Amino acid sequence: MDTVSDIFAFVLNHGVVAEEVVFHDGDEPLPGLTEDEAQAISDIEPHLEKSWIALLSACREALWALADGHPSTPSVRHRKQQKGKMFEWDEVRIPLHTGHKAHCGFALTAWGADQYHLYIWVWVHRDHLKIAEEAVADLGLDIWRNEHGSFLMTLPTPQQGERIDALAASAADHLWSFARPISDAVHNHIEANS
Amino acid sequence: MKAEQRQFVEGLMELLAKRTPAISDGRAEVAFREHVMSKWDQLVWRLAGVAAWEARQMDAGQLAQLRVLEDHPSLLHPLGKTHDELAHTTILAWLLADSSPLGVAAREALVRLIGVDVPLDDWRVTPERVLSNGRRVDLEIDVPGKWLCYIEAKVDAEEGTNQLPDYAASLSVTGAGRDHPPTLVYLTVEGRKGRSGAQPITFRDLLIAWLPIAASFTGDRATYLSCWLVTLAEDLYEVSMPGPFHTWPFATQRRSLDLMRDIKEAR
Repeated sequence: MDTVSDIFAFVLNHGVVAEEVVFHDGDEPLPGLTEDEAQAISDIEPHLEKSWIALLSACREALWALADGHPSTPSVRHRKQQKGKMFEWDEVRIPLHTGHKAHCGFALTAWGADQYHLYIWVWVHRDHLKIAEEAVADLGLDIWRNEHGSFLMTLPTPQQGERIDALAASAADHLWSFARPISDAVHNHIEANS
Repeated sequence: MKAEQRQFVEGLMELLAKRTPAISDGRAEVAFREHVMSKWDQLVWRLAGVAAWEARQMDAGQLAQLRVLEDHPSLLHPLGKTHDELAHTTILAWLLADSSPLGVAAREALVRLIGVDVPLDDWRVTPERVLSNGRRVDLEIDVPGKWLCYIEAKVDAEEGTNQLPDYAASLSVTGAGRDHPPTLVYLTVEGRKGRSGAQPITFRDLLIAWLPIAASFTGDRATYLSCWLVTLAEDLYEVSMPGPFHTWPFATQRRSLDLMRDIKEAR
């Protein structure tokens, strides 16, 4: 899968409505669908699963490439998340520290919004939150925080015809721009205190 | 169905109509009957040969895992409780509350499966935990000050109204302020895409995570774990049957080989 298909883009551009219809919970399809519509929706799910996995695994590959040679390299390839879980969980997680004091990842999720977005994030253990905050303070990036201490950035919704490898490379570049300084700060902090 | 959902469905159908070529005749079916169905016995025979060949390629670890499935009976089958959620979650609680090396290995494999990394000691595991909002979650894992996790399991039943959102709401309050964000796990047979902030996993994922553990430990605990995993393998997924591998039907052999491959990839 090289590019974002029309169906994939259509679903991504309909966010929570697409989620309610296509990924409806339970064994029965959403009430109100005709038999043909229910069948058509069921038929596109394998394509969507492949698309989700293609994009998120390409993001992971691109991040791995960026992290090559960096002190976090042994950890980023550690505990490789299964590809099937990228679709079920809407995200791929990548450790930034073998002691699991920091993780990062890519999420393709709606989070209740009108569109799916590609989100990039770094989570650090609360012992290292302050140094992580300092590490990104002067980067001038549009990073927001959630209640669990993650640093997040929202990227645009992938559109039909966009190349998967280009989207992944760009997302990985953005993520590495703040994951790397955070990772460095956490590693240095742990080494200095060990 | 809400108006925006109807609009989405119509847009999707329009898109699909543009891209799906119409099936104008039954040529594909005729070709299938001619080239596949007419040689069905030959194909099955060849595929069975492939399964036997694949079985011979397994390494020592995979053979030990296969032996767990061949050599143990199903724990819940004689009780008529193979699809009883409470029986499954009671065993889960028993296993995760166990602080022996086998229990800790099971904890480690579980946290790896759900993608968190939390301390593996001081786990307080409570089945059928009643929450402050009156809901009852199947399993609570409480690691004081570190992490809180709820596991909701479904074997046959459907998710109740607002069940997962209610658990998520309770978890976000009770589990706040700990070292690690709280986790809500939704454990099902078939796997469902994550909703309400729940982490979906399947009983097959547990089989993949814990079969190597059952194969590498001895003693009563390992035997109970093995027998429960056989319940999952035989009664929920039909990836094994009583008796040795070579006596299983081809489809079962195929599913068990796929399982062994998935175990190897997950490690």
